[in-house]
Amino acid sequence: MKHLECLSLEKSFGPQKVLDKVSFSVEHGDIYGFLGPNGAGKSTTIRIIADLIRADAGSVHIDGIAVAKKKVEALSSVGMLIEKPSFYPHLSGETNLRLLTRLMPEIEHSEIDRVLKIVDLSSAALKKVKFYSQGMKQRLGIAQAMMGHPSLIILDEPLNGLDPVSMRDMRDLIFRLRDEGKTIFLSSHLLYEVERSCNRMCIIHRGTVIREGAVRELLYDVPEYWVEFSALNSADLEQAARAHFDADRIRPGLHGLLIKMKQEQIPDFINTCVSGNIRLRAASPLSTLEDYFLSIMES
Amino acid sequence: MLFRLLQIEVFKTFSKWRSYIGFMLFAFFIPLLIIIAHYNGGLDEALYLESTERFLFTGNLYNAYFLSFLMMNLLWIHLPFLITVAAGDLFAGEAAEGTYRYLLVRPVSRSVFFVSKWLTNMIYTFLLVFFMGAVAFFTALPFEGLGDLLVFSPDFGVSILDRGDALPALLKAYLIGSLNVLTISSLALLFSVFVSNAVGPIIAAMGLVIIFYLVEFIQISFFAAIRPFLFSHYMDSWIYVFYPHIPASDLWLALAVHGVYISVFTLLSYTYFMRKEISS
Repeated sequence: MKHLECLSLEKSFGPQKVLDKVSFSVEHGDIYGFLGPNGAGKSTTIRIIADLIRADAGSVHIDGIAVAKKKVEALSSVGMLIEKPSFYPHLSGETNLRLLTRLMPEIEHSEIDRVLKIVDLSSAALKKVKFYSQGMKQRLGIAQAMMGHPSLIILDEPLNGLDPVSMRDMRDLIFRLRDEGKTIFLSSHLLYEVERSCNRMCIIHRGTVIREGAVRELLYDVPEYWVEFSALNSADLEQAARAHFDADRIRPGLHGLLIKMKQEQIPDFINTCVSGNIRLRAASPLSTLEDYFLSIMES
Repeated sequence: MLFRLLQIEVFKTFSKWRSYIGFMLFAFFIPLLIIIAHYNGGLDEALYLESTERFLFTGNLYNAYFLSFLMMNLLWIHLPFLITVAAGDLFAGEAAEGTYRYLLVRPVSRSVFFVSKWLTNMIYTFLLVFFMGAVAFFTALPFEGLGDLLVFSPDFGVSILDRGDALPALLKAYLIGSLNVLTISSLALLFSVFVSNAVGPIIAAMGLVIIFYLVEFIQISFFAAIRPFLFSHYMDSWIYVFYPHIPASDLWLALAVHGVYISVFTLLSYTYFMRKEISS
């Protein structure tokens, strides 16, 4: 059974259709990236998953339970951070979390200390949220999403407002949660983070899913990408490259020479190098999610 | 779940300082008025201001019961205004701060969430009305003591209740007064569901109440025809309990009208809230 499944979601705001038959599924244990440019429909989709807004058509299922029909049951093991974290500003961080333990008695009080420690907010627990920085609010949002050990954690732009160290910590936390068997649904515009963190992803554009699949497979599902070649005799390598490719497809790389080429050109060029006595040390495809994302957007 | 949410809502309401404005004003001004009145003529002055008739009376009619009755005149405008400050914030405040989703993304049904808010509104309304009465009574008690209860009204004249009947009658009047004010707080709650600014519901609800009061007082035949259908016509129904000659059916009719308005306001709020798209 899928952990989270969206089936043909449709949603319009007035005359504007913001979601058009959006379907994707998240397996248990996935770290699932949900990508798309601003206004693509990511937040609308997440709000439909959370039952904050209703889809015009289609359905959302969590562990096979339809959210629109049995919300309480469906969301019983889901933690969410949706966009900008929302808290009662006149209450302390600790009191905000205490409201959740009062709401759900199955969450033990010690959970508050545990999650605050994870997000490094123990020392600010008694401070009113209105005095928190954006980064602290973001971390508190992640803390509340983890309360009660939910099996599915939905994080909408969790890295917003975090400094580089906190971002690294967040990435580590996501991996740790995955190792604990959690499923993570991660919506982010930080492509690098999604590439590093997620095993599967979905790209949404203008309310339509345009790609879905394993990140590693999708990354190389592009017509051409950069490959970094390094050789002992680098001058000969560059000469061979210039003979085979246009100048705008060649540029210096960190460890050698970058050449933008089609996948089928890679073995041919390696053969050329070998036959030309160029002593290759490595040939590494460097397709990034950014390249992939941009190529899709451009197409 | 309802009880847990209700606890949370009551806690949230009373964790905001604005919820105490009404309590603070009553706690300060009612004792002040009673003390000033005590040293400035007591009942003579009060009756002189409130009635054109003249009386000769013996015994202690200017007492804690009488002052608790007198304070009920605040139920017309002052107290409803203070109630709407809290009621208007119940939903609109959440929308303004984007906090709806803090609880609603949890396994909580919207209908239970709504009911908990509605009950919080009711609790707040009853608390403030009874707090007003308690402050009046307990402040006046050491100064004026107890005695028979004198009540007067431009519509029904003067009535005097034996001291043994005074407290039950006052409690009943305050209970009915709370229900009357609940109509206005339910109206504020209705506006609160629609908007994301807590000031709007206060202005809208009080604006409508004042218009209804104008209809009550302006002598035009059309207004006279519609008056019986407006809740404002029955805002003083609490006073019926002090006049034994007023038939019980009048009180039931008043309560029924308030009940219908409360039900309609609540139903509209509920229906809209259940369909509301929470995008903040």
